[in-house]
Amino acid sequence: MASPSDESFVEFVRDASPQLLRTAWFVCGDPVQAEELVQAALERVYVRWRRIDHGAATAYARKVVLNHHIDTRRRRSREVLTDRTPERAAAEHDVEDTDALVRALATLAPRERQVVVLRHYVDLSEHEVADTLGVGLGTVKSSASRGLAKLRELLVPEGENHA
Amino acid sequence: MPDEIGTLFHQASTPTMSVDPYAVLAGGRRRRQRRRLVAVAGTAAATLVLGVGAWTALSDSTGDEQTLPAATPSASVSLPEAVAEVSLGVIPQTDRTQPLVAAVAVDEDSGRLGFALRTEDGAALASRSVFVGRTERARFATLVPGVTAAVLPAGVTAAVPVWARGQTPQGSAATAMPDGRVLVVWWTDGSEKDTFYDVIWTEGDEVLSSHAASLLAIDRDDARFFLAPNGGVIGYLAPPGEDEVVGGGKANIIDQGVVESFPAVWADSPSGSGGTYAVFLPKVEDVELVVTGDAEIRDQTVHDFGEEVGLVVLADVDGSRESVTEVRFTDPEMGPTGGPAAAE
Repeated sequence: MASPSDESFVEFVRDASPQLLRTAWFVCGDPVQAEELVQAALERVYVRWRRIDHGAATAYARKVVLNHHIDTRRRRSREVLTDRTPERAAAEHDVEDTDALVRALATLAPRERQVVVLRHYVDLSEHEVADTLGVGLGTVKSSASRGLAKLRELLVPEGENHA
Repeated sequence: MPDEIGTLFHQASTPTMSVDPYAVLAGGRRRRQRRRLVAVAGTAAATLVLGVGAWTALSDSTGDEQTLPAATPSASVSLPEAVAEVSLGVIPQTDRTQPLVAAVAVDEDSGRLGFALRTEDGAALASRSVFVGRTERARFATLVPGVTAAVLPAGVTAAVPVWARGQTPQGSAATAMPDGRVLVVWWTDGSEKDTFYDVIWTEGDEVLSSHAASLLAIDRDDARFFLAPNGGVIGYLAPPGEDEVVGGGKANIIDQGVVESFPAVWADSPSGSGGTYAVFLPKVEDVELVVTGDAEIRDQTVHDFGEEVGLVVLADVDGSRESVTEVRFTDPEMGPTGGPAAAE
């Protein structure tokens, strides 16, 4: 039988995982890697489950996901497993806008991507983004500015850029 | 603009993704237990336990309360019962002088499968579980750098591994699993760190890959290119008509670039200087491959696979591997363009 603590954790995973998965996907651009990032992050959350504030667990899990994403990128020089072709004409799930958004996000530097996703998908304030990523407020502002500028070039139809 | 971006995020149609809460729970428990073990054991012993813990992940089912075995640091660890095992012989890069055994377990519920490597006398060398939930027909994992195993469907008649930068397997071994599927393990000399990219196999007359796409094969004089009709290209070369290809062959995906909305990918042959290049393009006109230095295109042919697949250009180039730097072509709708250099 699962303990009450474990039952609350399972409930937390059910509630928090959809947004965590989408956040991870926007950041890494790969659904399989997103699942792995979230699974690994939630396992880490479980280790601290009895000690952390359950009300802040989602924020903590999000922070772990993003840190784990950076760590994963740093290990890229090592042999990695892949089950996807690096090029895809049209994935089954894709619609045009999603494709464009994810492709555009992929052109951003990792930190810019994280900031933009946290600000405009997760709807965190600049202070919350800074806290989540462990960076200064100035870094958040500059990363957001650069990231949005790049996205504007890529996503806003020509003619609307300077409106 | 920020509001527009927010709208795009929230309207985005995301792929199907999920995590199993009970799998997370089980993984968290293992992680917690490993922390405790690491706290009490020495570094070397703890590393061994990590391997055992990872292996246990495979034998655990998900969704039920699980009791982890009390793993004890030991120089000789008995692995849980595996679905299949195969003897590999001596693998150079593992720095072992005695034959090794690869064992595999599959957890169909969680999508994880795992491989363990041990010596014939039972000493564990490494084990790992890997999440490969998107690969339906085949599952593969790199156990330690240079040692990769795949579980392939029953009925497979031949299989080849593909590394992204063309590493060549030094040896292979295969065995049938109790349910009829086939376990294949390939290993290299470990001299080149490379990304394990794909498994290509045959079932009857059909050529398949772990990317879940049937492949088209183009036979040339000394090579066979396999091309995935879902928009991807996997360049793989093997002597035409060769039935027994387990552990053979080689593929080099030299480069890839996205030109507008479609992929342009080329792969070359493993035949030393020069080689055969395949470039996947949409319906285009006036295809021109750009070569560097003294390289020369000896022959060029175009294969048109219809709308679904597009156009494939094959060329024999006399020169170094990197001698083809660009492909230029005219798109009837977009006009002259090129890639991948032009896309950057």
